[in-house]
Amino acid sequence: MPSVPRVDRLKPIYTAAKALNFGWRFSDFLKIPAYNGISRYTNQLHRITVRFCKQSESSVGVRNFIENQIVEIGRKNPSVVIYAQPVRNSNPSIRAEYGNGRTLQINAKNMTETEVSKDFHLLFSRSGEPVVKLESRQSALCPSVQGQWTPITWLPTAMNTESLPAKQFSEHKSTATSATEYILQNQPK
Amino acid sequence: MLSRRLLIVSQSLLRRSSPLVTSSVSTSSEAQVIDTDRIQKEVFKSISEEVAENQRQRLFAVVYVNGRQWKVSDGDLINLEGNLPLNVGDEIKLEKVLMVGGANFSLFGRPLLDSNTVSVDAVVVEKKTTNPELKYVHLNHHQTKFLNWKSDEATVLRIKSVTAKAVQQ
Repeated sequence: MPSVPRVDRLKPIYTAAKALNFGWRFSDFLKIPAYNGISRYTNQLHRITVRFCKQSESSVGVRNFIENQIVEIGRKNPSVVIYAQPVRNSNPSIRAEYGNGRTLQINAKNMTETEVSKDFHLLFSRSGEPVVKLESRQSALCPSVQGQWTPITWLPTAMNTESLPAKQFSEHKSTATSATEYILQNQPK
Repeated sequence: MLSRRLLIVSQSLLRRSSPLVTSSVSTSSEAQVIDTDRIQKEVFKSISEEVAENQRQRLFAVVYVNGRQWKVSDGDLINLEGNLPLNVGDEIKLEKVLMVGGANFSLFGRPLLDSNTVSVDAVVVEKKTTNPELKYVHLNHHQTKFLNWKSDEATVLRIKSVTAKAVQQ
């Protein structure tokens, strides 16, 4: 770890304000920050830090992960900065920082190499929005193209000039065949 | 109304050969196609004009993904259940299109539209876990309590574009 703290992070002050309602925002609409994917997709993960201890048993999986996999992942994702930060006598953790200013941290204590790898990839594929219960499985920019249906949308316009109640509009409509209709359609031979 | 029905019946009596009318009971009158070719041409032409690139009309489509139908348009986000075999940033084309519509027309497939004519392009923008739902089991006087955290994986798609080619006859 450098003795001077890193200054390359984009952490505006309002990040703190956004974190304030993190605890009690239970449900939200489906959203993705920064209009991502509308013209092209950009990776929202900016940097990811792996903190681990060089000696303790609880960070064995993390150490193996760093030894075997982390370089390859870094090569595949040139836009992401990956730090491996040894901290003496600490619980290992993976900390990811996203384009919308949020930070996600996963405690990697006693995890195996596979579990660490799984969580690492999960952090790579997240957008940085908090996980909340969704109000709807879909969100749309434009709610309706043809206009929303109302009960009077397809009513006949002849009704407009008539004074209601009128007999022709008060007829009971049914899909069932009446006896008269049945006889008319199946005439005895 | 009654006189019209009678007229239809008499027509059907004249055409005794058609099995539809004679065999089954139907309250609705038979559909009659009038001047098919001319009307078809007009309809195809007007839809082709609506769909054309220079019109920049917003289209919507009904696609079948993930076991259900979605009404999607440009820029929509849809949340699919499960960890699908896709990476973040992958662009896919949704091929099961059931319907396409614009402000002034709707085209229905029987059941699907031709995937070359209509294209619904999407990008995978996020893969995440869903919010955990808790299942409590508490048995009174048994000193038994279970707490299950149930969480699933989800894949979020962004619909990039819904486009259609001109309709051919």
